[in-house]
Amino acid sequence: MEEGAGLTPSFDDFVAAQVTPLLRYATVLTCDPHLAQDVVQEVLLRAQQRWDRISRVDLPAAYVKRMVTNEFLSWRRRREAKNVALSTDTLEHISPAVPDTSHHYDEREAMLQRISQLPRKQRAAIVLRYYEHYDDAEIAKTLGCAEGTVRSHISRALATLRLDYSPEPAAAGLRLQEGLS
Amino acid sequence: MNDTEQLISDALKRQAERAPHPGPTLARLRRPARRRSRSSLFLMVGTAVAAAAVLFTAGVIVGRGPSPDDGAAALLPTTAPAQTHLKYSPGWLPDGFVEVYRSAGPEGIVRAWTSQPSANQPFATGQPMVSLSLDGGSPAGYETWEQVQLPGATGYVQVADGQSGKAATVVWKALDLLTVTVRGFADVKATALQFAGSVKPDEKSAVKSALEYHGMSLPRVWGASPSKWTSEIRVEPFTAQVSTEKPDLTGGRPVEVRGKQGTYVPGRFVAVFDHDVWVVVLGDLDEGQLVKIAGDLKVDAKPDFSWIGR
Repeated sequence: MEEGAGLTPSFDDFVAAQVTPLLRYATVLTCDPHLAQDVVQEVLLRAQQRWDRISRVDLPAAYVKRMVTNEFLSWRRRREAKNVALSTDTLEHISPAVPDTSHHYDEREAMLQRISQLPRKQRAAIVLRYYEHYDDAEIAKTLGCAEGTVRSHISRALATLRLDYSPEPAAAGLRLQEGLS
Repeated sequence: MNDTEQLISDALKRQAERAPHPGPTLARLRRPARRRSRSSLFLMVGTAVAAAAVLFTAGVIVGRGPSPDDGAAALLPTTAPAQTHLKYSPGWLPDGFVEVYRSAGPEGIVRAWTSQPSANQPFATGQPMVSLSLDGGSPAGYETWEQVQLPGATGYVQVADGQSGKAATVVWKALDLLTVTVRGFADVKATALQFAGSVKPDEKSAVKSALEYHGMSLPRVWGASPSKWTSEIRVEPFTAQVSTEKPDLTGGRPVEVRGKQGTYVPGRFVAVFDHDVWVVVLGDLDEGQLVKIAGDLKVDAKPDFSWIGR
């Protein structure tokens, strides 16, 4: 499927072409493959229902990617708004929302851990810049903010990523380690 | 692009390789539109997929154990997890290096060796270290690294300036994607290549957790010796540890945990000394929740961690 070719792609064609890039993008964005699957699934279900309208925008893939970004940015807020019992909440998080630490602890893994701990908008800006290679204007459009805000997000994120070195990734683990005598 | 930006870019590419297979997503889209509420969808589908992925990858047998009073709990396994085989071991170690860390989880298996074993988690220190990890990823994206020939495989190596000096990473594809990382040596590249070249299949080595929560037990174990260790599981939103090491209980107050007098350190954790080990649960939860989780843990106070320090 070629976007911008003047054709209206079917939803099936769109999904066939875009599901893998969307899953990869969401995995980078959420730092959690399982959450990424949830987010993409949810977004595509909504897109499927509104495909008549979405298929007519200039760049459906970019539009749906923005939906994924917004889903990621709003996901925790929605989840926190729910009043769920501990057992349910725990079940919802069988897969850690931050990446499990039992994988490679090379420099990239350490960096991924730092990225995963960034505030969400900063993380999204970093992903759009260094994974999607968007410029400030494109990031601003995706995040729905001013270009100056984008530069601020990226600047603050880079400062954190340069300074914050915590190879043992989860804050909880660090707290306990600090507590061990 | 400076070094930090390049590292960010490389790290994000690696993360992208962990994207899930599109099959489940496509299957969901093809299913008749009998939609649950969004929250229900997130909970049920996400949980089922996550649990299945976690347990499958970790080599755990899933035994479905429905609970009449909690439908969601039916998704939890009740079968005790088998130990996870580590699949590969090195045939060579730098002088004085001993194994101090093993873990297995949805993202793969990790082992680490150091010459300075301590009770601390080795990745939280800047000590010289060699680590071996494996997962189901692909070597795609590493082609820009220096290509090297390993026994029976083509690998890729890169030396980068890390926060604790130079670190070398070697990546190659066997049945799994294997990664060796070395830091704290004068010649990290040579050490990494020698270590990588010695790695061979190992059907014996395994890791098993000393604790389990509702059947969930993705092991992460480290220590200085078989009698000085910590075993941890992380099931967000909490982390549970069993350790021979006493935590700092400063600021704590008494609370009953697992039928014994334990300690709640406000805003941090609950801890109790039970069967000669410390059971600790921490997370952004209130006291009652932490105590309940601690009570639900199954603890093996005499685990076989004889591999630590060898």
